[in-house]
Amino acid sequence: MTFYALSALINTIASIFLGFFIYFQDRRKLIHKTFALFCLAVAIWSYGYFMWQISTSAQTALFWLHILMTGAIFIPLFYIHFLLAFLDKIKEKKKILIFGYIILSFFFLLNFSPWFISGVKPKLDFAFWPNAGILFHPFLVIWFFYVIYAIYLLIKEYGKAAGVKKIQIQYILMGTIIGYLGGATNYPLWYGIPILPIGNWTAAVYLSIVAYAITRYRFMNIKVVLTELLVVVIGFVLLVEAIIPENLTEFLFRGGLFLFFCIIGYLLIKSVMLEIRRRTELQRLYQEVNKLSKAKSEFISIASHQLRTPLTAIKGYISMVIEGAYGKLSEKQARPMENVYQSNERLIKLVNDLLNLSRLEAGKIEFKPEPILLENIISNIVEELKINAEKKGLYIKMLKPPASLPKLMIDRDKLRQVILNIIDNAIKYTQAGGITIALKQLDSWARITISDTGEGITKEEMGGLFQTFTRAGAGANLNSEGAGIGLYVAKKFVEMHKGKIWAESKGRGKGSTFYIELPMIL
Amino acid sequence: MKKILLVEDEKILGEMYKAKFIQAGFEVIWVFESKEALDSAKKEKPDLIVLDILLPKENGITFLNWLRKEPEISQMPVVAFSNYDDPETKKEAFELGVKDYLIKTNYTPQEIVDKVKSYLK
Repeated sequence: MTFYALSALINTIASIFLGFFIYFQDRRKLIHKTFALFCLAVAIWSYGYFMWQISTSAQTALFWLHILMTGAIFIPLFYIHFLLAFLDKIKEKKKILIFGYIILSFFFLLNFSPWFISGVKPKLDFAFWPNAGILFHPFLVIWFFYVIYAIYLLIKEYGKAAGVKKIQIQYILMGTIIGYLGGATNYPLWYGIPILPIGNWTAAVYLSIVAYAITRYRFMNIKVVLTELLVVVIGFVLLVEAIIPENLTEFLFRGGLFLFFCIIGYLLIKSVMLEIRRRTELQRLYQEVNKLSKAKSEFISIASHQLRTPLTAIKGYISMVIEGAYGKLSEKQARPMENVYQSNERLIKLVNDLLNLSRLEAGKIEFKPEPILLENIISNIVEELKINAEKKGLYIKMLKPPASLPKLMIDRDKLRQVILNIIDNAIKYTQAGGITIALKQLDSWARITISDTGEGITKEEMGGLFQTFTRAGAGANLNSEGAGIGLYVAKKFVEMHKGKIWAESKGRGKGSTFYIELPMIL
Repeated sequence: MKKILLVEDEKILGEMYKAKFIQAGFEVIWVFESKEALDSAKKEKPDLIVLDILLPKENGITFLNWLRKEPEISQMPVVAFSNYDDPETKKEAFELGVKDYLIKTNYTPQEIVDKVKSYLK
């Protein structure tokens, strides 16, 4: 058997198989139906090609060439029908499709006449190559018209398409160009131009790429197709060998091998299908989770914005009232205003904490370190919170290191939030005495210590201190504000700096000390 | 007297900030939208723009893109202020040259005035 005959036989099996596979995937869809028709035309063409190649007489060769041409006539027509269905343009391009069916049916009817193929004669290595009849010339013009039109349609739609569709068009376009370029090489020899025909070599590539494109969005399915195809082709070869044995031993051996291969092939296909089912399910779940996470994140951002707007107005106007922008307040008026302002601040902090928490959970917080003097950050915060401490009659002092620490790689906003949160808590939970903040260098670490003379933390409370939605007992007794998110967020921010954060307390009423250690990296 | 262009679509907040800036001795032009803001920036030549980010129709980022393409006013200092705390938007705003991106709710009007003064020095 020549290579041409063998490749034609493989094309026949492959196109029948792909046609059935795509058709039975969804029998109701026009895309699937038209692709199956296209595969049928390729199968007829390939089988005709195979039989023509193994023909031993000019008469038989001519007969199979007519069969081959039956397939060849309908290949571009069914293909354009499939393309229009795929691009959802059947209604729009109805006329061009109807014209194709009429004109190509005309050629089909006259296919078996000598006007189409006038005869056969030896050309290149082929014993019976066809000669073009008078009707073959207009057929060729129509054939090329539909091929060029298909490529034009695909290029035009490629520009407009997006997402999966764009990828599918890209593949189909690639397959079309490869397939038809190869197909076009089959015709020059009809006119005596000695170009080697490679159409049936590229046909398999063409079919596979287009089938891949159809199932692109269900990419895994093609794996089953290819596995099944491989099993069928090998099985077919083994079967052919098994039914033409030279003796009984060979028959038993080859037959046994064929049966053994059938079992292995069945198990192989089954395992591939199982794996694909699992992967598809995982992929679906993954997409679902991603979608939910994105929706949640967007919701939190927008909700935070909506919540913050009225809080900004309250904060702004109350602060202006307190500042005396609308007339000086008496002491009796100032205190309730201050209480409203502080309550509003709690709400603002809660919104900020919830936003941070949601971003931390979504892994959407970016770490942006820059060389900064830690001492400056702490001094600014102490200065900022001094008024709050003094209002409660508390002292707040900062013990500077004996020698200045060098600049460290710090994300300013995040570390500021951590220190501010801890000092703010210290002021909140301290009724007498005050807060001392110290900064010093310990080997390759910068340590910030925030000590207060407040309510302290018990051993039981210590365990859940840096977890979400837990607050120390003192917090629960003295203040009902805060959702217990602040320290959790603080811990996460310190960890982003590759640092450590922890707290110590000798127990209830004995104050507490918070430690933050950051590596001295510049 | 320094001139401020305030771009703020929330009526309550706009009134509040306008009052505060006037009280702090600024001349204030208050607009609600990006297109209006661009026209005012060209016409009034303010010393600084205080720009909200979530605006009706075109947002503050679009406004910044327009502003930077206008040779006459492209170098005008801008302080973005918004309650939309989105890292991507913040990044874009800084890439378009804003001096700062303030989360409104974290600052009193006085603190915002102080920030603006510091950028006008």
